[in-house]
Formats: sequence, C-alpha cells, structure tokens
Amino acid sequence: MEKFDSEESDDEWFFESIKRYEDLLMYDVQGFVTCATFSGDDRLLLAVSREHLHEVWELSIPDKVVARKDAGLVRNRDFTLLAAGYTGSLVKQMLYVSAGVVTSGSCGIYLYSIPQSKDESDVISLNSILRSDVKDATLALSGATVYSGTSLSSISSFNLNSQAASDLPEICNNTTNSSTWGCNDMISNMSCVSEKLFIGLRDKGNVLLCDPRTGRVAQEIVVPESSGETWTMDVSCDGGSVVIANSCGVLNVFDLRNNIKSIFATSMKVQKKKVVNHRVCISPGDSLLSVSGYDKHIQVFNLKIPETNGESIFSHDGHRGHNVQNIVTHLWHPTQKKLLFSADDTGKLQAWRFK
Amino acid sequence: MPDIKATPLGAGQDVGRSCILVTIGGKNIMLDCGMHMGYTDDRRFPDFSYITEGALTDHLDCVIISHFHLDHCGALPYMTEMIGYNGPIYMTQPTKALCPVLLEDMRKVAVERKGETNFFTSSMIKDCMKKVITVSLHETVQIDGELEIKAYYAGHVLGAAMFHIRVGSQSLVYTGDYNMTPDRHLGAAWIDKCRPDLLISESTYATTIRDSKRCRERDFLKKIHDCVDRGGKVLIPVFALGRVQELCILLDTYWDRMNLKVPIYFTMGLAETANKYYRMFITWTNQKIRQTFVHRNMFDFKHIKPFDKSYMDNQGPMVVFATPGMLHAGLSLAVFKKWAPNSNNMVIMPGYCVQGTVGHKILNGAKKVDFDNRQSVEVNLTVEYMSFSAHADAKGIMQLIRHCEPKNVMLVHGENAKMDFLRQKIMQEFNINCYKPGNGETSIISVSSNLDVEVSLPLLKHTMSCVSPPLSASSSSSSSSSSSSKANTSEESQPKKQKVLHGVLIMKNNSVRIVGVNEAWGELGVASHQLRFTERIEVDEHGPVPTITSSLHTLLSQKLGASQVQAVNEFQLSVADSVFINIHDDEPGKTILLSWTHQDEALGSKLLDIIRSTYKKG
Repeated sequence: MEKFDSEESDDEWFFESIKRYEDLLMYDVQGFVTCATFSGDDRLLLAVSREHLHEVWELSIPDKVVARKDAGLVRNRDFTLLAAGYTGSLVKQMLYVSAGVVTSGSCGIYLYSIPQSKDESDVISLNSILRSDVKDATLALSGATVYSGTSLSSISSFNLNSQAASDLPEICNNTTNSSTWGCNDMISNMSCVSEKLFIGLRDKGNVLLCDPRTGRVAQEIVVPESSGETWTMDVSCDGGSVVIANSCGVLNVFDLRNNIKSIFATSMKVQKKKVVNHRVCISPGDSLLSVSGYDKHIQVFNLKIPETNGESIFSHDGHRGHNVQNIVTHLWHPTQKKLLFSADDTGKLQAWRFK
Repeated sequence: MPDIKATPLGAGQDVGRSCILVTIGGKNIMLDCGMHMGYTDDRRFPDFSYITEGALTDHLDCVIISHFHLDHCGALPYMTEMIGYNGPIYMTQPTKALCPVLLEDMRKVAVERKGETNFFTSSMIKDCMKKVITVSLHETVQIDGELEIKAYYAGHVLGAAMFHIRVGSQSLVYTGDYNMTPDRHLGAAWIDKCRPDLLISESTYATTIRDSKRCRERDFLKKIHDCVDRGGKVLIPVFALGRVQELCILLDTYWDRMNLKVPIYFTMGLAETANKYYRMFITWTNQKIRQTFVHRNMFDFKHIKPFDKSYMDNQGPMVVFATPGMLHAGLSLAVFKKWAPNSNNMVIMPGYCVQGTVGHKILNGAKKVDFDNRQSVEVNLTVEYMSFSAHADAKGIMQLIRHCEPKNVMLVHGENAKMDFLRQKIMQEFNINCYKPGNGETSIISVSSNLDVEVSLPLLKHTMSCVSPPLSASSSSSSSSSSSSKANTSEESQPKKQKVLHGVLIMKNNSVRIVGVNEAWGELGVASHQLRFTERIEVDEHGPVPTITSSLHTLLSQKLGASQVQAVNEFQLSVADSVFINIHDDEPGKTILLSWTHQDEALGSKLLDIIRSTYKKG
C-alpha cells in the first residue's frame, strides 16, 4: 500500500492541477520511452526499451485528448495499442512515413512496416535496412526522401518511392566563418522545411541552411563561440524561426526573415549535473516555445509577447517523484492547441493541455 | 500425453459474456456463467447446447463463479433452472450475497420495463442460489476424491476471486476479472507461485494503456467543481456496492482542502445498504477502509450529509450521491427527472447500465426520455461518464504471469483485437505457449505430468557412499596445482554431481518406488537366487597337478595383476575372490573347471579366453 504521506502530497498536487490544466492524463508504459512521434492526429508512435528488449508501439490516442470541447460525451481516456514490434536496438529517433516508420539506432537506419487494417496481424515488422554505416544518426524527412547522418560528411538521402540512396555532396565551409566549423563536424539534429535542409551542429551550435542537391550553404546562423557545451535546435513549421539552445541553458530564437535577428533569448536554470537530453520545440502554431532537459519540468514560453520575454507562461511539473531523473522527450500535438506529450525515464507518459 | 481442454462458450466474438468450459484430468468444469448485456435475444446467453442438449448435471462436475458482475453470473439462473443443473456451484461469500441482488434488479428491468416473457423468475433465482457452496480465501475445497479448488483475492470488486483448480498432478488458474494495482478501497490481486499448467486470464484491457487512477479522479473533481461553480446541481447515481465510499472520501478531502461550501449529500438507502454489506465482508476491503470502519460509521463525513427528498427543490448548487446506479427506479431517478431539464446541471454515470434503463438511454445520447405515465423528460443537463473499474492491463497480465509462473497461458475475451504482439511477447519473454481461442473454439493444452517416485533411504545411502568414477583428466590435473579452495569447491559441488542409481522400480497401490535390489526381494516376496556357471575345459597337459596350478597362477598374475589371483591350495585358484579355477587329474590329460557367478560374466569370459589360448585342447 502507498504510504499515507506521499499520497497526501500527491492529492495536493492533483487538486491544484485542476485549476492549471484543462486536461491531464498520465500513463505508465512500463519501460523506458526513448523517442516519440505522431503518425496522425490520433496516432502516436513510441519507442520503448526495457533492459535488452526494444519495441516500437503504435498507439491510438484517447478520444478524450483529441476531442473538441463541444464533442459531448467522450468516454475513452486510454491509449489502445494498435500494433507493436521488436526493434534490434534502442531507437534514438523515428520518422513516420506512409504505412511505416523509419528508425535510427546503434545498428543503423531501419524501415518497419505498420499494419494498416485490423484484419492484418498487429505486428510491426522489419521491411528493410536503409543504412548500416551510421550509429544513432539523426533523421529528417522531406516528402518521400529520408535524410540521415551523424556528421556533415556522412549525410545521405534515401527515396522511399524509388528506393534510391545517394550521398549528399560535401558540405564545405564557404562562408566567412571558415574557422569555426569544418566538414567533419558532428550534427545534433536536422530538419527539412521548404526544400531546405536545416542542420544543427552539435558541438559548435551553428545552424546551416543547406540545399540538399548541391550541398551549398545558403544561410548560416552563428552563435557566440563557446566550448564544452552540446547544442540542439528546432525549426518552426513555416521555416521562419529557428531556436538554438546549449547544455548550459543559453537559449536564442532567431527570425530568419528579419536578418536573423534574435527575437527571444533566455537562460535556463540548470539543475542537473550533466545535461544530455535538452530539447527545444517550436509549437506547430509557431508562437510558443517548449523546453525540457534542464530540470524535471517542461517550460513553455510565448514568443509573440515581448513582455513575457524570459518568463515562462507555463511550467509542467507532472513528472514528480524522486525516481524521476530525466525528461527524456516532449512533443507538441500536430494540430491541437496547447496540447503536449512528455515522457520521463521512469516510463511515465503524460498528455497535458494547459489553460 | 494428458492434456487440458478449454473452450469459451457463447455466440459472437464480443466481450461481455464470460463462460469457459474446461476439461482437466477427466473433470468438466464451467468457469463463470455470464450474460451478454448488449443482446436481447438468445445471443445474450452462452450456447449450452455445446455441452449437451438438455440438462447439464451429468456433464459437469462443478460450476465456479468468480464475482457478482452480470457478465460473469447473469446467465446462472437460466442455466440451472431453465436448462437444468443440480450440481454444486462454488463462489465466495460476498459473491453469494450480492449475486441475487443484481440478478433480481436485472430481472425486474427486463420483465417490467422491457416486457420480456421468457426470463427467469425471482423464485428461480432463489432456487439457483440454494445450490451454492461458499468458499473462503486460501481454503482448499475438496470437491470429490480428485478435484480440489482454492480461491485467491482478485481485487476488482468486493468478493472477486481467482480460482486455482487441481486434479491429480494437473492444475489451472482462472482469473475472472482482476487488477494488479491496489486502490483506495480494494487491494491488489495476489496469488502464490503455484506454477499451474495453464493460466486463463481475462484480456479485455490487454491492449490498453490505462490513464492513471489519479487523473480520472482529478477529472471527476474538476467536472463537479466546474458545474457547481456555475450554480449547477450534480447527480451521481451509484451502486451501493461500488466505489461510492471511495468517491465520497475523495470529494470530502477536496472540499476540505479547497474550502468549498456547496452542500454534498448521500441518500439514506445508499448508506444503509453499503454499511450492511461492508460490515458483513470487512475482510474483503483494504486496510485503510477497515481502519476507517472500525473507528466510525462508513458514511460519517465532514462535508457530506444525509439527503432528504425535499432538498431536491432547493435553490443553488449541490451534489448528490443516490442509488440506484442505472437510474431505473427510486430516488436517483426522481432526482434525475427534476434536474434533467436544466442545462446547468450534470449527471455523472458511474459505468455500466443495463439496456432498458434510463441510464443506458442517456449514455447513448437520448435527449428526451419517455415514461409509462405519459410523462416525458427533456434531457438538457450534461451527461458525463466516469468509470473507475479496475481491470488488469497488459502490464498487469505480464505481472501475474511473472508471479505465478504458469506453463501455458490462455487469453480470453480480448475483443476483436488481434493481440499477436502480446502473444509473441509472452512467448518470447516467458518461453511458454499463449493461446487465444474464439468463442466455441477449443484449445488443447498438452501437459507434461511428473511422476513422483520415492527412493528408499538405504538405496540412497548406498548410492551416495559409492566411489564416483574419476573426473576427466583435465580437471584432475588442475586440482593438483590448486590450493584448498579448489578442494572446497569440489566438496561443495559434491551433492550436485550426478550419480547413477541402480535399483528396482516397484509400482504398488498407485505409488511408485525405487528400492535397492536387496530390499526388492523382501518387497516382492521373492527368494534370492544366485546363478553360477561352470565351464569344463579338457587340456592336454601332463605332469603333476600342483605344477599346472602354479604355472597358471603365474600366468594369470601377469595378465591380471598379482593381487587379483590367489592360490587357495595346490589344485585351486581364485580370481577376484569370486571366480574359481579347479584343476583335476583326468587321465590321460587334465580338466580345468572354471566357475563364475553371472555378475562376473566379463571376467569369466576373459579367463576362459586366456585358458583356451594357453593350453592345447585335450
């Protein structure tokens, strides 16, 4: 039986949450969520690991979460497992492609097929191996083309329709900042928006906007030189803003349409000895910014309101308890406003909509 | 190979009717006898003709009911009184007390509201319950010479049990509905590591990842708070035997914490019934409720007071817990009729409602409800649904399997979901078979039975004291170079070493024993016989007998080792103390008599060969 004390403090938090959250749902996936991505408005793909076993799940999101306010009586508040399969290794990143999922792990980049109808078996099975020469590569998707790579010299593309694979032309430093980065620099993450490949450099912080066909760097976002930190970035859906953050908590949002001007800057308080999972996301509506990895919270900032610059408009502290060490990942729902999903390292997955 | 057969009965693939037939060790058992609440025709009952046409008494050894929910016991009176069954029915005491209450309620709705004619009567329910034998938790009940059952706590609802069934060396566990996480009012299911041949588990929620209890409670509170904030009234129809106590504690705590002044009421009938049953079955609830109960009346709250019918008309917001839960009669229905037309108000339905009840209608979106006396009510209030029922999800099922270590698993009532992945997972992670039969399909589970054989103590002692054959060359060479630690480990591992047991297997009176050869004589009343062979070899040798004896002695000593060969006297040798060689004078040559017992066959043959090859035939 639970101890009475912790139950009381739990009660407190839940009672308070009634005022703060519109919706709050919590799940225990009994495993360690390593990454998550949506495969539709009402479908979520999760990569879950338990010791040496690694699985990818396709879940149907409860109606309660996706239903609109006027939807009437909605009973379903649980995730339903639609399909699942074993993956060979821990999955670092996933991309949803039609009827399948591309995963990146220590063995390389794999493509799995997701059963489409209820009549088929519910097992997600391996379709093909796209690449086996890169470990824990980062992925980006543009139409039917999957880009993957670990460093500037190892990026290649794979076209899912034609099954053609090709290496990207070498990305050279032709800019004025030739001293800061070279073609062997490691990548933190990539994003493809409007035919441009945004590449974040893990150890340097700079974000390069590349033409994947020629390898030419069209634009570059420079961050002040620093050493010892790792960097991550995110691009807004319209490709107009880029957020760059480092493991020390320094965070900047740049407006690409306005001379790469910094429109938002803040410094996150770091409460962990070593920040490895820091993650920043610009909401699909492009006006909110979410940040996790520096402590046990997920902070939300409003980029459009200068008065709140630096102050978060909401802090999600649902991942409570002394067992929780890390927020592993968080993501915005693709269409619903103010709705986020987050996972911690004790196997808890939470869906929350703040007021 | 002996096997266990299991068949879920019924027509149709839907969840909602639990009734499983098992054949184990020659016994036929029916597990649960539920009714499908979604159908109004014969499909709501399991298809008993699968067993036989007509009465079932001779074809079933017993019936076991896991708990009082209608999808597990709803068809029982139909089966026993209308199809015909007079054998024993086993269930826990709370289940026996509560089943007839729910059956009667359902019967009333079916006959009086829906006008059904071919339904079981009140007296049939009573007659059916007379056949019930109650069992207590962890009590082994001997049903006949070979069949025994034992009930374990299942959580889920008051009186729910999981059943362990054993016939001889075969066993199975049937879970009924269960949950593996404790909550505010019931504990979690528990079973010992019984390692059954088969575990039959409900898998309705196997592909579900459930939202936490806390979040459901939070939502419940939020709905009520939002409603009373705008001045509305909240009606919560409840079952006296459900989670009402838990919900009251929750609401009371929240009201206290938030310093809310809106009145909350419970109806007296509800309190009386709940108190009565909890008093009867106090051992079935969890520790906290038990403590609360001992110190005060279960319905003694700070902010929740007894309701009076007249309060229905009071102005302003309020919250009322009232029975019955499906809004089919009584006070909850009266309150509903009064409050339904106001869109500010709210009704929170606690879960399942039988077809034909007002609860069922409004949960399906009815905007207007008609009553017998030409009365009709506009349904403008918000209808909410809040189920707190506790079932095992995939995590719970894996936990249960991990805990009781069955040799096979069978999943029942998993809706239409394929569950191929769950089966793969179970088979992969536990290395056992997982079956998922549809209704009417039989699964045959092979069971390997262990034969228990007693080994007699003298034989054991004798075997243990025998010198074991020398270890392989590599290990013996390494042991010489190591220190005492190696000697210790070889001593420690001594009991683990395999030894060959030579004995006689005796089957007597259904028991099997292995005894030593010497003991066997006595056991079997057989006299011991010794077989001795003597070979007569005539040889062409001249000279005195002692000379031949002596030369044979020398020869054999060379071949077999001096210690093996003894000269008994001038004309007799013994080899290995058991083979004898006598030499006679037999004009014109000599005769050698070689004599051995059948145990020394090998030695005897060898000596025979030596003698024949050494001496010329006479």
